[in-house]
Amino acid sequence: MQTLIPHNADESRRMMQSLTNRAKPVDRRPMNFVDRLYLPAVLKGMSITFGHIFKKPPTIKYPEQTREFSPVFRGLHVLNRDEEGRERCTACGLCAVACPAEAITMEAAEREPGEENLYREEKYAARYEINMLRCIFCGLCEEACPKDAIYLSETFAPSNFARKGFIYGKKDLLIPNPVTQPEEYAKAKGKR
Amino acid sequence: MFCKNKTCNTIHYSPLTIHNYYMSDASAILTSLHQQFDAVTFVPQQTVDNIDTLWLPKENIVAVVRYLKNTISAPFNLLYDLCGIDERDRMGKEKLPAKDFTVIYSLFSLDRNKFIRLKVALEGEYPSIPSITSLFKNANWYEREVYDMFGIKFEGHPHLQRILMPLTWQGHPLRKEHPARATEIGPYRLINETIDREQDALQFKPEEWGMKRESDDADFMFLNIGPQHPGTHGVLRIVLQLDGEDIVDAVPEIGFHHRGAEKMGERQSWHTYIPYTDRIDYLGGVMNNLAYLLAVEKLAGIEVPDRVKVIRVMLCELFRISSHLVWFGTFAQDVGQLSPVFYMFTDREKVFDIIEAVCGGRMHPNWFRIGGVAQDLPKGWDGLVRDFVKYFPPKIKEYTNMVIRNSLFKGRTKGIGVYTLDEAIEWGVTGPGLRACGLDWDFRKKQPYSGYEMFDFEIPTAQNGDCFDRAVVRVEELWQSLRIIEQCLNNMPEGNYKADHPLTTPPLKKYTMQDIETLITHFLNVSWGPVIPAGEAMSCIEATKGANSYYLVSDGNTSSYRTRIRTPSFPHMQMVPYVSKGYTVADLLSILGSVDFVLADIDR
Repeated sequence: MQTLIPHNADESRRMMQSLTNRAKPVDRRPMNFVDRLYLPAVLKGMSITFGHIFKKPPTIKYPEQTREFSPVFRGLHVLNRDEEGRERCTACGLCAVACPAEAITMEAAEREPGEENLYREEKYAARYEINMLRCIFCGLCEEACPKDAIYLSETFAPSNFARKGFIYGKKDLLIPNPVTQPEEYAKAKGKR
Repeated sequence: MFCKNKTCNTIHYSPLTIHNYYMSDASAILTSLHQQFDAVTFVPQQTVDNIDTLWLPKENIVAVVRYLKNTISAPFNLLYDLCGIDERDRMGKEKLPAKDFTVIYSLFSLDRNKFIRLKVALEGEYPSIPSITSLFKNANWYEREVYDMFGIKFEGHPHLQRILMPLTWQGHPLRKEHPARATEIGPYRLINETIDREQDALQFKPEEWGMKRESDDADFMFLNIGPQHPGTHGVLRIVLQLDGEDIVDAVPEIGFHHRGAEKMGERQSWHTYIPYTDRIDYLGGVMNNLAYLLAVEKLAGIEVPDRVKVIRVMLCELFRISSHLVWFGTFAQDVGQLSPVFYMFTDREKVFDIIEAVCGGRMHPNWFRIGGVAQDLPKGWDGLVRDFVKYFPPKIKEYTNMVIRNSLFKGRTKGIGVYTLDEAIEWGVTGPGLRACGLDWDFRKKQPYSGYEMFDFEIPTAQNGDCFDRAVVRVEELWQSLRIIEQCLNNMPEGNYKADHPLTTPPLKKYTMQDIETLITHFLNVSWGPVIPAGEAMSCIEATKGANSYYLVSDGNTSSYRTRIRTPSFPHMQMVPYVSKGYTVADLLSILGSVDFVLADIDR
């Protein structure tokens, strides 16, 4: 390949501009007399704004109406159950170490005999908390989970009066039991 | 090439290298440097990104930079970046001439389309180095930043003062001994004395900046704009020295949005840092991911499949449209048109509908991964994109008629905030601001990355370099982005959405529930993250606002040793006082709007 090295500033300017023929000069016509009157421009602008009154409004009446989210939307977390209604989480802690914001804490416990219908694995999360004020909803916990036990749903974090209310425990996060509460389960599961 | 013995300065040519363009160009510079400075020891360093890297003694830095900028033909006339590294904890630094600290100068030659990286090793707890502010206008802020972050002093700097941290801050954040998180410092208490001290520090003292309080016939007025002001587009404070309504001088104060993104890069794993990049230029979304990942992938030696490239390009261009729409609307609002911003934000929602369907997030998509993207495109993505490609062109026409053709808009922007091409280069301006001066410089064309060479698009340019020209260039870029998106839509290659490489993240977990071996690998990969081989690499992309780079230094660990983010808004903001002198306060808002900065992008 041949190198082209210009010898002075003018030449370099010319060469730089001719490096490609892809440059596209933009339209910049000078202002004419009508332009400089300014009043037509004001009226034209007003007419555009006025015209938008008759268009379909792009807004929705929240909170009576809510907009649809895509199935991959990263909203509030859900702790998942398997088809028999057992908690999938085995408290391995991978979601907590994967979390860039360090929003997840958990305490593990051993499953006792007779609890097989509650927990899928021999170890489970006795306490599982996500601090929704720390959470950045990046979804890395969902990617990290080897048990498909946590995923981000299509719902928003609701408002709250106290900071404490944003620390979500298991009762806030767990999906309803598909065996005992099939309707609530279907609703919480959404389109996923 | 260079002799392997580092103390030997002779250049050993081999016939092969002379025919190689890149090598011969590099050695041409080296030869001329050696001829010019025969007493100086230059030590070259091989880096993964193939940018010529030279170590040199600190006594010679000014002379060498002057030589590269002023003397040689096809000079390195753009100071692209200037940053520091605390080398004290770096593993394997014995192989390099590194000492305690290193200051790195990245110069760029527009004629050669090449970078050169100069490194100066510094010894001692708080070392010093000669300033190059006399050579490059934009070195001023960069040197202040290095001083602020590392405590390295620059001899001869006109006003070496902290730039991002509060003036009352103790310590220099990017030094390795400085705590990386609030919990290491202890609880913060805001007592009355602290409030008074912080308030005092924020008091603007004109004398510190070499400003007079009065001229021969009038007193100057010092007007404080921001940190909370709709025209500053974020937490930016500008102190104006006014003579009547004319701006005599201006001092931007930045750092209100500083979150220590570079420091976080040293703590987060290579993988978990990706969401943080989203928040640098928060209007650019995945484009930040891309800049970061291109550097990581260079270090890891990952070649991504074509499908990944095209998906990435498509998402980037959607974000360019979304970012330009925000700029377009707010700029119109800055100069007095209140309606456009609503229409443009509505259209931005249309872009975000696509982004959300693909990524799951909107402004913070966090969707690119090392070696690919998070998941494949969803079913029906092409319908969404096709609808948008059909929907958008009449809208751009409408907005052009409404804003750009409006004579009031023209009156407020034409001939305002003018800078020439030479001034733009001197101040390190890239992106639409540079193209508005008549230079068709676009890294997508000049140094194509992520497969941009496969696409057919043009680079809009304008001639006058005023606010109006910067605006029309961006509007024209909307059309070009749309063209690229349409090409992505019609030519999306089949294939994998992730490279087949052990260092890609996150690990595929198809088999984790059945097989203990893959489960163990999964655990290691998620808890430690990938271990990226030692090395240095810089990426360079054409982001929404100009050239964005991540310069990553790995010492073979699970997180980066140093993450340097070169953002376009930083030098652009530095130039604002220079271009706004002599204009009125109302013009300043036009100038600020036309520069199109994001405070998070300036402060990082």
